[in-house]
Amino acid sequence: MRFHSPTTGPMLVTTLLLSIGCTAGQSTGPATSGPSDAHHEDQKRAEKLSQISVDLLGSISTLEGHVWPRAFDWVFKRPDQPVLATAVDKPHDLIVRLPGGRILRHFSKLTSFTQYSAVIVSVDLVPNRHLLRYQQAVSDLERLLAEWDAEPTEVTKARIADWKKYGDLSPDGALSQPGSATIHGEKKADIFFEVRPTQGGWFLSVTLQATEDQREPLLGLRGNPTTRASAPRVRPDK
Amino acid sequence: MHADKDFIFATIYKDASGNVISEDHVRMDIAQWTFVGTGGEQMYAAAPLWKDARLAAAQDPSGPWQDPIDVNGQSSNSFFKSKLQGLPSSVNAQIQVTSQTYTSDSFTDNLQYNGPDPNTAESQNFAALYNGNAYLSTDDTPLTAAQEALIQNNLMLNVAHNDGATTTLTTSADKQQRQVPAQPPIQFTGLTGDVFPTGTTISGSASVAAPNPGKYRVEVSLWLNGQTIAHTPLDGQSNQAFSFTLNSPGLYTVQAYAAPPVAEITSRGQPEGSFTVLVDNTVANSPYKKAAWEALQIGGALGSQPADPVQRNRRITELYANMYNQNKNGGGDHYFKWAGMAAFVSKGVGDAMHSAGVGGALLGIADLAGVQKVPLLGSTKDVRDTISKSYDLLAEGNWDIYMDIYPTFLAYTDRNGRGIKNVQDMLNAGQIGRDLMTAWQTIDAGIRANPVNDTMLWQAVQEMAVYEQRRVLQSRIFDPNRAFWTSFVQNYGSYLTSAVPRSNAFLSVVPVGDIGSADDRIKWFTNDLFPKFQTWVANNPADINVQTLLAGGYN
Repeated sequence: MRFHSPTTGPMLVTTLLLSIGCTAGQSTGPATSGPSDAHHEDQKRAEKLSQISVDLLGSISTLEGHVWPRAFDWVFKRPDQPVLATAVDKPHDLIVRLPGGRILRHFSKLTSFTQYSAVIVSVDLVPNRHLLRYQQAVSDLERLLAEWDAEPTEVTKARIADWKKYGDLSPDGALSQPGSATIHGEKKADIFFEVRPTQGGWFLSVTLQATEDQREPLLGLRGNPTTRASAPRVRPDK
Repeated sequence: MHADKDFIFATIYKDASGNVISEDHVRMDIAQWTFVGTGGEQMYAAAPLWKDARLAAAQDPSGPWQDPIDVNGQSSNSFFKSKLQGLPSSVNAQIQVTSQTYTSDSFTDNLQYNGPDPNTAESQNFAALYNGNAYLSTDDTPLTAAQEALIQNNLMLNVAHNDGATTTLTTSADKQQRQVPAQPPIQFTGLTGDVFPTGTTISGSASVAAPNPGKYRVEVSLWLNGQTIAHTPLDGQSNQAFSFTLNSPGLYTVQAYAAPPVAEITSRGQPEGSFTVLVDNTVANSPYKKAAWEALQIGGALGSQPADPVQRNRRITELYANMYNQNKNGGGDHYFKWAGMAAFVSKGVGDAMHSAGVGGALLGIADLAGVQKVPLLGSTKDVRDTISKSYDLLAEGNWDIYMDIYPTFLAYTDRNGRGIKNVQDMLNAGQIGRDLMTAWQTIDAGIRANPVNDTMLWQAVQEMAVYEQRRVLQSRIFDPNRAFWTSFVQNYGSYLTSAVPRSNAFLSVVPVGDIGSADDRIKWFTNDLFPKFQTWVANNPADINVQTLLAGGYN
């Protein structure tokens, strides 16, 4: 993406960038303190928020509370196909039904969903309303995993142990800190997460994702490449 | 001897009684000739600029850059002018500057008397030294006359190839010469890498790579997030040893500053050098993330990764284009179409970052002029904050996507031939998520099909692009700054375009859309950017020409 000036070159572009000054800075603000307070506050608010629910590895029609957009598919040249991914970008109460039957529920500031062959293969949520200090983000991550009966992989456990030694890292110039976790009793899905930096603080990004053996039949990677497009298409209910 | 526009030297002959018999008077102008920088400070040497960057700046399709003030509001050690004090305005003088490396490479400039002192003149345009071999893989030949004219006309900048410039002042009476040498580089020795896990202690030494390095007094400091966190003792060593422990993750810079004795300051200036170090356990322990960081080096030199986000963006753009160009079948069909599209998008991001940088520089000038409020826009402080924010956000997004996705390209193309298994290893190590893995499975299946399955390769472009929008950009860049982007598109959405050739502006594709909304951006991508890039590839089956891309030549 770029800011293009059709007539007068970069001076006008500069003006465009200048002109948004009055409304800038209305972001989520600097990192807050008190991880448990923030968590409880989020829980309270979740009760009043709109509800979004979905079945991981279910049809896109199981997505309730949000309409899955459709568009022309320029790969397979077919009209009116569900787009690859969609997002709910207003804070909401998220309910995810896992393939194994467990139900996970959490506040989410932003959730995105990805589908193949009209089947939802990943749900990516931002579980905190505000930006966090680094150690808050790490402890909130551990709380969330425990709440969901999930366990970091061995390599991730060592990584988290390192993170706890860093103190409150500045987000400036830092890279995302990734890891993965398994969910006890769930064979068809697991978790990928990142502690991510942005201006003014850190946040968590948590992905509930179908495992590869569950995705592969949906991808049409073997045989006819049009498998994906010709798979049953279900129009969202909403 | 001081500047004097009417200095009189007289020889007087007297007899034994002291009576003047005859006199010979020689009148002369004594002009003080110095070189000054963008802030009016005296300069003794100039840091050479990157040849291709000057060309790209002059040829930018959205208009030439505002050099030489394009230094993000900071003083530059690259741009200089001749300044003559004590030269009467009646003197018709001209300046000719000749490269010390190529004597055929020269330019002329006029002197102007614009300041409060009628007897002080400055050359009309700023000048700079350039080279090519110190930057990326470009050639080091002199610019052609046409290229120099382009830079002169569009950037109001005169250039000469280093290793220095001989400046000749010609008046009706005589001819004088001065030299502007290129600053010698700082040389770091003993550093064995530029990416480390936390807790690593790095040690080495820094000295000036000049004929007489012993004349310089070198100081070394360690920077993190714009602050000095450690420095060497000020003990005047010419080969300064240093040892720093890097306790927390981040992007560090080891900076060295060399001060010659005052008497020698005019010989080679006050050189500065830097060495970039990334401290991150995940990167240090992942061969492909580490390789992605090392790929940003300039000329393969350790620690040469550009710390400046605009320079880093250019390197990223080039790496994406090279990845696209270098991976294709015998028929010339490119496998990694996402990398090709990413090269265009990254180029556009660089243009926008540049625009934000220029804005910051202009505001610095506004401050100096005492301007407190920009009409209709608010206080200069608010505006500067906004520009700074947009610049930082663009830089973050560009860097984040590169460090997230480019390592998987290096994994897949590793000469060990394991291909998708290398990407799988990254997944198993918790370094990437399954959605990115799925995109690679699609690419792998497309490449392995006989013949190559182009449909799958295009599908992977969508998967990677949507992944990038959804995961990298939405959560980190757009959502935490939602009000910023919403306001931007409400006021200026029609100007929000992509660098993908022939693509349409955001609002013409998504009327009343919100660039801060992932769904709206995916609509823009799905309905316009993606098919436009498909069309471009169909019409341009050859490789992406990196120089053309950086110069904005694809439209």
